[in-house]
Amino acid sequence: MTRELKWVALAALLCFGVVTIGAAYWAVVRADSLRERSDNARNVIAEQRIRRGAILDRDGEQLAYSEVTETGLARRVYPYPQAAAPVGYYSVTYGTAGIEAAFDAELRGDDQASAWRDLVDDLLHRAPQGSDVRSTVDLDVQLAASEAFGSHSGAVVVAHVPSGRVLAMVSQPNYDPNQLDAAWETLARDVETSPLLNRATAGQYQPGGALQTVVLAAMLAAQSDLSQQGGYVLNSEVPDVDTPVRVNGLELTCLPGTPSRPLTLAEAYLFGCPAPFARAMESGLTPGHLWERLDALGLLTSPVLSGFTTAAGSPPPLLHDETPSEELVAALTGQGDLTVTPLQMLQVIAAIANQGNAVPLHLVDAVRAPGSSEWESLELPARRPALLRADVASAVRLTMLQASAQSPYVSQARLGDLVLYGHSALAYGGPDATPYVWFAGFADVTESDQPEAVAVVVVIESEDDPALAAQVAGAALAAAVGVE
Amino acid sequence: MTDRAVLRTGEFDLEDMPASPWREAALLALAGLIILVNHVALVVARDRPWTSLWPVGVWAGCAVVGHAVLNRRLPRRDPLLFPLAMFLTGWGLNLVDRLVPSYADRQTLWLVVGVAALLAVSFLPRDLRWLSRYRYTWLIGGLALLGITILIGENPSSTGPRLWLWLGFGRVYYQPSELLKIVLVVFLASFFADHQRYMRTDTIRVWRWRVPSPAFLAPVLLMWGVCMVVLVWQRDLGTATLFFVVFMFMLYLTSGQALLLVGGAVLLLAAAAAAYTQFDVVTLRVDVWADPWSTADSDAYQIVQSLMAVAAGGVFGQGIAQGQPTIIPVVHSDFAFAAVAEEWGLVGTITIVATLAVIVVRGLSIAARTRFVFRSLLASGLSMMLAVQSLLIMGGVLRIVPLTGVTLPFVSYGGSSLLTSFVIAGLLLVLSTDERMPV
Repeated sequence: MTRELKWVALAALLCFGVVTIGAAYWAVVRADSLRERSDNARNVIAEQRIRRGAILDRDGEQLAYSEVTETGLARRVYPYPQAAAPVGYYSVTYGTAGIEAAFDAELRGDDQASAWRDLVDDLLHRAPQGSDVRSTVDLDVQLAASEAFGSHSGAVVVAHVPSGRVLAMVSQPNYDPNQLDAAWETLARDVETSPLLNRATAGQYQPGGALQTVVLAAMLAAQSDLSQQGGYVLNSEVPDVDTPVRVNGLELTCLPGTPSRPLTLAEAYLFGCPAPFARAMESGLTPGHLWERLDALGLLTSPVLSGFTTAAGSPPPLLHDETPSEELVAALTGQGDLTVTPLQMLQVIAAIANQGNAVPLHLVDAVRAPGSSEWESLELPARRPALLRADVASAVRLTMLQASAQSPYVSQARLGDLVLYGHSALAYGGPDATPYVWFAGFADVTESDQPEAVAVVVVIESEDDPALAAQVAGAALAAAVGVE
Repeated sequence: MTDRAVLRTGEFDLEDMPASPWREAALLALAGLIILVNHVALVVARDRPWTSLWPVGVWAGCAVVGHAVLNRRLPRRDPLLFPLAMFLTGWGLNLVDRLVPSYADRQTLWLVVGVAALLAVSFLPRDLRWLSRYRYTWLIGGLALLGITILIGENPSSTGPRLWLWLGFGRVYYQPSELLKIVLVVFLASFFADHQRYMRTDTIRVWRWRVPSPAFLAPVLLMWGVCMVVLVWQRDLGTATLFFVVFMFMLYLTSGQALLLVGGAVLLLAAAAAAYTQFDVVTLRVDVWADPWSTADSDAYQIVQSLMAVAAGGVFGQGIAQGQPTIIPVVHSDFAFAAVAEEWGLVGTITIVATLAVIVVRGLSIAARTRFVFRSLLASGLSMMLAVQSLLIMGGVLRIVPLTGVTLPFVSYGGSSLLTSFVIAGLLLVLSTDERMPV
């Protein structure tokens, strides 16, 4: 029987050996493929353990932070849902948006990662700690703009010139990032109002009358000698200024309240009369010029918002000398194929405020490593291309200043004795030509030698009173410059 | 059997080392240290009060009392069996307290009961003749208990197979099929010992080969029938396979006829194939074993999660209470081994496998050393019971064989299983010590 016992013992040991090899196979050979499986709940738990850094406003107020629950998992809290457009959201299930997406690596702490740190964290089961991110958002401006916007749909962007700091960004209808997981189905399925779409950076709007600023700049730039001719061009009377312009089945007219008297080109601009701009080709502007101007002002490409991926509106087909005149009229009145985002418009307005030079738009200016009290400034693009000639910018600026004095709409954004520059416009978008209103402008806040301004762009959907947009802009500017 | 041939097992050979109570005490102290360190780690990791270390105190008490009593009763016993059993049980206690803290006190209670049973076995007559003599009583008693359970059994979690008998107080249940494991081995050892003389020579010639006599057919088929009853009743391949494999190995040990194993394997596969086509539970288990990935979110969820736990553990493990083994449904009983793999890593699983292997090899070496066929068969049968059960569940958790609902001896949560394992350990200790009285 001893012989048999030996065989049985050997067989048992062999089987125990097979079990050991089996354990090693799953624990070592197949470990990585099993760990990476999407249905491995450990990945979700690991993700939920990450202590994401906070997102602060420019004064250090928390716009988003992670709260550690009893189970050791982190919960993301957004004290100001009104700031959802710039801050965005973070969800284990549905991903990220806004600053949460653009600065995900910093907030997760991936930028701090090193093989050594990972090893120590892993051994000690320390939850990964992310860096704090300081945004340029000014909570006062953000809340004021959001409140003034009320229940309208649309967008507001406010930025400081020449620093390019975005002070506020509103996109309506909004969502509460605290309730995102619960409300996702409704939010994502709502194609009618698309609450998750950041209209400020990605909303594609028909520029309509708002394009007059660009066309005006193009008309001025086409003058050979602006210092001599500029005043003449702007201040000479335009014949048939209030002739309605027909484009794509629409009849475009001056804004309501336009005085029935002969108007200069500057006045046509401030009253939003489309006729002089639709006839721009008759006064020396060529399709090539216009195309060049659209391109130079960044209306054909995605605007730069440091760290973010932004969207461009849809560009029109190339304009050239053979382009049919109806298409040219559509392009000149902003009712053609070109659509723009509010951020693109802000870039144009900021350049006009900044002597024609682009400003480096950005939403985040510094990052603070976990455990550190030192903010590390982020580098901004060094290149500040000139979008407009300084003399053209200055002529447009003067026209916008005139508008704030004379336009019944732009003047609604005026505050105290601050110097306001602005332009109100109507546009028609979508297949059923829904009207919406634009306001684009800036307030001069220069205190010393260095010129400073706060630029604002407002677009309100499904409204036809340009005063509404001007009022929102006024409220945002008031908060930004500290005027009651 | 009368030649005192010794199964050599390297450095663990009993012949080479004097049975020293100090060796057992040292091993117990080492086991206690490991268990204490793990429990302290658990308390720290979970922010529990220090008083929650009490199960370790109970364990230490059991170890000290057990060691002292065994020194008096069985001074020449195997010095490894008790410490290794206590080591695995203490580890299991760590595990249960970590996975399902509310079950920890019940498991600690069962530890006390188990050690008491082990010591009780050591107080019974050491020649174990009483086991052999009343073998039919034991068998009929065991089968009667099984029959009662089939009739009025229940399930403490109120769903699933009704394999338990309520003991009449509290939420304490006993699983009679656990007791049957011991009864079966006792009966077979006794029966085979009486007939060994004939069995070894009972062959017929088929052309040029000597094959086992057809006379083996009846007992094999009878046993196979008993296992089929268990299979039909439990709807699980586990216990039935366990019984049948242990039976076949004991038959092989007695008769020395390896061809019988082949025949047994054929019968086992036939039964498995029948069960596969007849019982949905078995079909599911086998299908899931063959391809877990396509149903990883439904039917194969448990086994895939188990493999993920093993993967998460890697070589060194996450550390006690640092992994996520509780993702696996009912991890504390069927998947204790996967929880060990996640939190103690490959190091932990190899330790468990090695400890069980040493216990089994010690048991087989006890069987090899004894002069009496009954004692030899009893020791080998009990060792095989532990071995096959461990291999079935560990292999199931690691997807080497289809998953079956048996527990990991000494480690898994479950009182009946722990009690049985301790009685087996007690019998092996008795068998390892006294050889003077002939059967």
